[in-house]
Amino acid sequence: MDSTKYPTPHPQVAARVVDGSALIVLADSGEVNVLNPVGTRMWELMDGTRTVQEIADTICDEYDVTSQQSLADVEELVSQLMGANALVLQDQSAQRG
Amino acid sequence: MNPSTDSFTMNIAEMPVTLILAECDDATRARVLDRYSAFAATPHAAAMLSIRLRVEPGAAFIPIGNAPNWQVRTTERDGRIEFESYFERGWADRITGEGELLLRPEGDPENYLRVLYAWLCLEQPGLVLHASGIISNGKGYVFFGASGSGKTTVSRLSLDRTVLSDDLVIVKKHNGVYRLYGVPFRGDFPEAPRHNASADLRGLFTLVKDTDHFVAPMEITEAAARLASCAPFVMAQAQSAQRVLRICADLAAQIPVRALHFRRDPGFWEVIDGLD
Repeated sequence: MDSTKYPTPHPQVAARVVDGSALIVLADSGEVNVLNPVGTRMWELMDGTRTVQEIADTICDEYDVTSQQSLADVEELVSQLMGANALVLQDQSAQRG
Repeated sequence: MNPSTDSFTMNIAEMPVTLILAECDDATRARVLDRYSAFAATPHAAAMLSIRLRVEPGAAFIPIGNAPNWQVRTTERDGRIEFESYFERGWADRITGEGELLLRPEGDPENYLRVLYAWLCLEQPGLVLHASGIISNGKGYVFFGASGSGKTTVSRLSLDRTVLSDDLVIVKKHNGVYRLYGVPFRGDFPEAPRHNASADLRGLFTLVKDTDHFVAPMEITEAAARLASCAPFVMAQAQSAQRVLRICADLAAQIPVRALHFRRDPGFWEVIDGLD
């Protein structure tokens, strides 16, 4: 995975953080996916303004995890959410338009 | 009720909708009046929508194929609801208060009405839930879960209480309190009476078949997710799914959601009655 790209919620995804955990409605099935607290934090950071690497760095800073493991975890969640059409990877930051 | 009636206003969960039947054949008209008469509105109820029903011969709107599930397509945009299934195609406009349902002779208005009420509920706020609903001692209880989890079984084991439905119920906030409402729509237990009744909602239970009766608590997050998964028709669009999540989060925060482990006898009611 290209860690310089910007994970962004799919425009047709519905999500909400409830009691500290993100609920994400999977666009294709209508099923609801519940993320654990770390996944929820990753999801919050995937707002289109941070690269995969920047998100992994933040997770590494905030949790007791190595940078290598952090990047692997972020990439895994990005892959899962992209597979469920809940996330897209953009070439540019949403802030830069 | 007179089968020559040209219009009929039903009132489900305090949301009156008028069906204009003037262009229907006698069989369709009689079926509508028979099926929904228990939910007839009082004469002066102001309908939220007036839906014109028409029956016309023609090809199916969706080709009959090998799809594993009955196909129902629906969208909502700017207050306009679109609906399409094999033998029914319709719309409803919340702005103008009008709508239309075109039926093939094989068609049935039931799925359109289910979808219509699912959309109407979101505005209340409320939800149509794929669940069974039962009123016991004046208290409303919802039992939900995937197909095969036991919704119909629980309904069959509760016939000494008021079974609202084994398939769909409405949960809606009324004066700040969630209430449970019956609907006339039929599930796998068609012989069960459909009660036009409501009660304050006191508990929601996911169903787990087991060898004993007991309840287990559920975290709000999981409860909200499970409830949202049981909201039919309105989860395919991001905007409406977002509203469903908001309602489910509020519902799970206000009403206890638990897992009900039960075996095939009515003893689970002793467990539920002991919760209050």
